[in-house]
Amino acid sequence: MTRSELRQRILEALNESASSPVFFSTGQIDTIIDEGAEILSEEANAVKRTAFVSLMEGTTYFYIRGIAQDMMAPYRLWLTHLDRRLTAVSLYDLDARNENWIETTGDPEYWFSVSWDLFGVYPSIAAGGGVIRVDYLAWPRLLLDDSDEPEFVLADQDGLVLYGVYEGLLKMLDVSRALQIFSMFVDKLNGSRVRHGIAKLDARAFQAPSAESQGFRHGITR
Amino acid sequence: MTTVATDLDKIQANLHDSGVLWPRTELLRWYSDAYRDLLSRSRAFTRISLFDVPGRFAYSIAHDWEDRHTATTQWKFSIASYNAQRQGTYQWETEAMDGVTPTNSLVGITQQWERAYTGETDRHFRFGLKKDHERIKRLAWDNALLSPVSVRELDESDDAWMRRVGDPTWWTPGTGRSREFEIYEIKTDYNQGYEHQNYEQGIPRYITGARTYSMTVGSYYPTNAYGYTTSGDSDHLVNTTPAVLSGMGWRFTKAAADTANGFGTQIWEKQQLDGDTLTAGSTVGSYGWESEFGADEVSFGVGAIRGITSPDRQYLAIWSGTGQYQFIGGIRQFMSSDNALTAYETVLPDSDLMESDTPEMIPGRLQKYLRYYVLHRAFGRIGEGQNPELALHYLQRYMRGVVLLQKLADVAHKDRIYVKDPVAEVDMRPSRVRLPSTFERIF
Repeated sequence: MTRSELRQRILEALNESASSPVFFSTGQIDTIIDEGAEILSEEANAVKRTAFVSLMEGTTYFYIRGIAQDMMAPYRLWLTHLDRRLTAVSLYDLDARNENWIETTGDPEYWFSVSWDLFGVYPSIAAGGGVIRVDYLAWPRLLLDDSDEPEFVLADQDGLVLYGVYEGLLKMLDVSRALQIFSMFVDKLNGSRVRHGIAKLDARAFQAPSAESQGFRHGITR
Repeated sequence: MTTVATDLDKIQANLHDSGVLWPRTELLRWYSDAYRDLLSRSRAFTRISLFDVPGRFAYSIAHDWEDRHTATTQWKFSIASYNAQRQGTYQWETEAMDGVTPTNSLVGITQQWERAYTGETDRHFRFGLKKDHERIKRLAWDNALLSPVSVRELDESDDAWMRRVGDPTWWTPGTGRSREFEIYEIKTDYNQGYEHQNYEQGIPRYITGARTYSMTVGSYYPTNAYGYTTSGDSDHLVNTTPAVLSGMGWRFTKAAADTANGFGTQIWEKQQLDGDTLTAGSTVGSYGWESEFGADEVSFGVGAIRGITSPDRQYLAIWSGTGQYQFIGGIRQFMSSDNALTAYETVLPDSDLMESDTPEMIPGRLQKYLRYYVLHRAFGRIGEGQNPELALHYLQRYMRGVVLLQKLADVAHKDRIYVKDPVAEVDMRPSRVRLPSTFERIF
């Protein structure tokens, strides 16, 4: 659905004119649609992006806002020239295994979190050149015009309509109805989580583990 | 990111109020409270802070009330006695005031750095944390981890732990005021990673040190307004009233090592004056544009330093304060982690936001949760406009933001594989060998 289609559905649900609403401005509804998309991406990890960052000698830390402005959190770091995925560890892991980890240089093998906007790699980069590919969860871009469409699958876009209606009802101080719509939106979020998570592997065959079981507590064995 | 003012407009639209029921200043205070509360609950913003050793405090105070007049770190060097109505520098002063025969006491100091120039003192070895400090996540000495320990444990293990000199291994909140910590053992050698010279004259323009430094200038090559031969020449041209010349000057001559020997235009002239081996000269211009006609190219190192790189180590820009724009502006301080303490500390905004500010310490897309908090407070306020149901709902939505930021605080959370530790860890490094701190004396 385009932004104008989403807006039309929201305004009609609020008993407003889609072309010249009275209680809301179109700009307010557009902002609400963008906000709904943010929440969808936060809850369902629905938006993914990739960025490169150059390897510079001596570098340990990277600010994520210096890599991409829309980055929420990286989920995969890939050293392109070695075709190696960096393993995520904690500061505790590094301190436990190497007292002088900060002074160790080489090709990075691990990465660790410092702050929401700062991560580091270990060992520190010994030789410049090459890039780290950063695959990350992102916040969605704002919709640019009325013909623009959200990136989400159509099933998720219904959720944006629900969110818009919910916000509209809140503004009208119709709290009970707003909370009903919000619970429907939350249901949509749950579905979206599944769609962007395990259901993406719908074609995959799952089976019971083949390992020997200890049996059930009631003494019944498989 | 949007400014606070834009967010307040959105809040007022939801409240259907233009400041009659809920004054905008009240909303702004709640917005600042939300900002602080969100960061406090999530502990999402971690700053790397460095401390030269011994500790440095901006102020030393003798009385507790003096901290009212000190805006930044302060250390109370005096010891209260005589029903806390007197402050003394030495322990014997307490005995004297109480009419007890004074006994010899250790040296008193008024600044922690004085510890480098004195013998043993009865003052604890302390470091001050800034106003925005929330908690320490990790502390390291010379890049190696220090383990946290309580004062009780130290008291039970070493009767003079607060002045035991050696390599630091532990840190403790200690017995000092809030926003202070101590280390054990202590390192009293005076160490300062960088000295900021002539700081009264503004931001740094040039760096020198034991390491090899060079400077590169970006693609912008400004030309000079005038050329001059000596500093006296420049001073005369610029400081005359009215000034004869203005703008950026460039000295195209080279002074001898001993300035009393004069100066020359060519490199070989300088070498001649210095008594060095002569090398061939080149075409020297007095304006930058003369490089178009064969003169040596001139690069003017103008403007502030925007970044420092090294093949050996990273010079990381660390944000400080609650300013609107975090990573632009001048470098105000240089610090090193070598022979110094490094703290990973979670911090909070140290002042309220203004309407023109942006809450830079959280991801921009989480500003909506600050709005939910303000709406929670507004609808929850007793009086006209109160709506407990909406207040509760907005609180729940705000708390969702807290949970999200807690998750994002570990920016690597999505890539972490969590498994239970086996009972016996086998791949951890063994504990460092530790001898009792009194080892040499016993030996």
